[in-house]
Amino acid sequence: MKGIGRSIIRLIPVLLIVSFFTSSYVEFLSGDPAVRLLGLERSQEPGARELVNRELRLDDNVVVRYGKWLGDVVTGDLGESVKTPGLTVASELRNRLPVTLEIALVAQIFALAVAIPLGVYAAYRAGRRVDRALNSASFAAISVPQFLVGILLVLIFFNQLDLLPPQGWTRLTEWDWWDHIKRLIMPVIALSLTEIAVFQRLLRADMMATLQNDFVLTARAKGMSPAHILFRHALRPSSFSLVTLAGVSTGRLIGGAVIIEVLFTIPGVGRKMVDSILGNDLVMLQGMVIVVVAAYVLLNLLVEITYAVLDPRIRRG
Amino acid sequence: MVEASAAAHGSSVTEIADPERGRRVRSLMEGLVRSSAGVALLVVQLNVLYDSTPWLQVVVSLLGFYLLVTGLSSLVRGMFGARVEPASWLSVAWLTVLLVFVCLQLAGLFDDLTADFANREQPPEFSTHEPLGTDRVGKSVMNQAIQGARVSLIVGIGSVGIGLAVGTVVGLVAGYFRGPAEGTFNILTDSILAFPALILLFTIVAIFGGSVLVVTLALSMLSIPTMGRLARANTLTFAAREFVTAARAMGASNSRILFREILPNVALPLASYAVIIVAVVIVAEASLSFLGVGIDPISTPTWGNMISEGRQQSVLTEAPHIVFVPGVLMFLTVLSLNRVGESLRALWDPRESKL
Repeated sequence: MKGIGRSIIRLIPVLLIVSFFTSSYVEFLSGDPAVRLLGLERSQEPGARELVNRELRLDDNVVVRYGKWLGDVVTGDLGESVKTPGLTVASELRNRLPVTLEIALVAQIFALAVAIPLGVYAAYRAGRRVDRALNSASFAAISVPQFLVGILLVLIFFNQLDLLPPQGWTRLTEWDWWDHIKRLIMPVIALSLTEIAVFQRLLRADMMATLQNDFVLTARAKGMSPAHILFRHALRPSSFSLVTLAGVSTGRLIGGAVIIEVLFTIPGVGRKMVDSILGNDLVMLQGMVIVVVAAYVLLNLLVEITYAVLDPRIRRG
Repeated sequence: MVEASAAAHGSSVTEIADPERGRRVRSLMEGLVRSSAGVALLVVQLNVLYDSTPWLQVVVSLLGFYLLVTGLSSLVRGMFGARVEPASWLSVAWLTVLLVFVCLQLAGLFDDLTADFANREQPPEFSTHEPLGTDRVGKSVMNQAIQGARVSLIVGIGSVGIGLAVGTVVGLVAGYFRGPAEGTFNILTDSILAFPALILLFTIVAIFGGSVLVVTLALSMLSIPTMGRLARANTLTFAAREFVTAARAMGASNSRILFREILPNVALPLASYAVIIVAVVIVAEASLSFLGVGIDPISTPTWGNMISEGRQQSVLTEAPHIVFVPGVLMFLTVLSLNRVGESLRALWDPRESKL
């Protein structure tokens, strides 16, 4: 548990540095910030310039400005959009974070559900034809860029088969479950393809090392079925790296589903970040980034705790 | 005498008896048949089946591709023996072909990008002077794809080169001196890597504009911490070894130990990871173009720019080759880089080979 305390302390400066980087973004904008943020016409409106100056705190220098922003964040105020006055960052997050989280989690669960049996089987059949085929297939899957997978899926499931809608999103609160699932399928496949391949390779390698152990030989000598040995005896000690990687990459997916969200026009956090950069909506971008990074950092912490649960040696140490 | 006569007849005897040789000849023959069948299928697909149902085309292309790759693998195995890895050598071959085309492009060939509106959206046909077809305004897809390859390689190799140079030095220093240098290094790399990668790139390119130089420098922001972490991890293991202690005992200075003792050991494993990271960077560059902030599509065609045309439904249904030509090229390139990097890592990374 001491190690976990230390990693929490190590994560705080990361959060501070990332948010400071984001808040210094406005320093790099050339020209009049009000004009850049609102456009020429709206920046001439009465009160517009004041709003920009107030929200971005342009009268202060970078450090003071960052300190004030940080004070607001600690009290729970993430600010409001400069582009659309009245739209708070917090309300946008309430709308969008569940969407991104859902896609990331479903993709991750799907990837594990496919990769674990494949990885176990490949280790069991190491060096045989099935293993070699899986090896080539996973290599190929790692090498297809995400957006290409997305385009191919649209071509197959929309243009050719006309089974799934190519774009858009139905919120769970609309209670149209079937439509919701249909719109979830393609993004989830596109996101999880690479993950499946990476997980499968990792589990196969670790599993092959575990299968060399004496306890596996003992279990086999006792006449246990291969399935029982593989899944009940060998899977748990082989899954440490897999758990680590799955946790870290779930954290990555929360901010990394950008491409998929843009391609399938899903109203998630990633797409909002892209829109905020394109629209110079600094306060919005800053709020989104800090939440995404915090989620990533917290997930990494969660991984370390899970690690301790899985491996008794770490718990005691 | 018996031995001498055996030696005299040796060649003919072993030719029949040597199972290795027989296997190689069989492998050669099989490879020849398979790969020519594959090429034949691909040619049929491109020239005869272009107007048939898409499913038939997909099946025929996949089958042709499969036959071609497995055939070439057996050919390589037949020529160089069973111990070489055909996949790695095929990857090297593909990267060489790509490099040759890029060099030809730099020498002035494949330069013509004039829009020929009368001949737009022409499908690929090997017999015409536009073997890979034309795009929506009638520009040559082949010329664009080759110029895109140039951009991808320049950006990929450039940014990873920067990452390798800076990251190695920083990582060496952090891993060797430990203390505050290592602490600062850890916090900085953690921060950069905790940032969602595409959003970081996107922000930089949105501020400084989408030129090849800006995109290369932005991508090196990602490869510096990645290479730095690897360099630090490798340095840690080597700094504890006896030869470093011995050098220190002989009175070698820190810089001598770092650059003459540790660096040569760290450099090769890092170079093998760098090859894999080039693949990651090429995909990242294309992703930026896909999101619409990458390198300017009007002045510089890139694979990402070409593929992002597929976001329009009309392109996907009427002229899918505009998307698939750069898509396949990119897939093959990324696959080859991954494959070569993986082989080099198995060869060069001491931590792996010790297992």
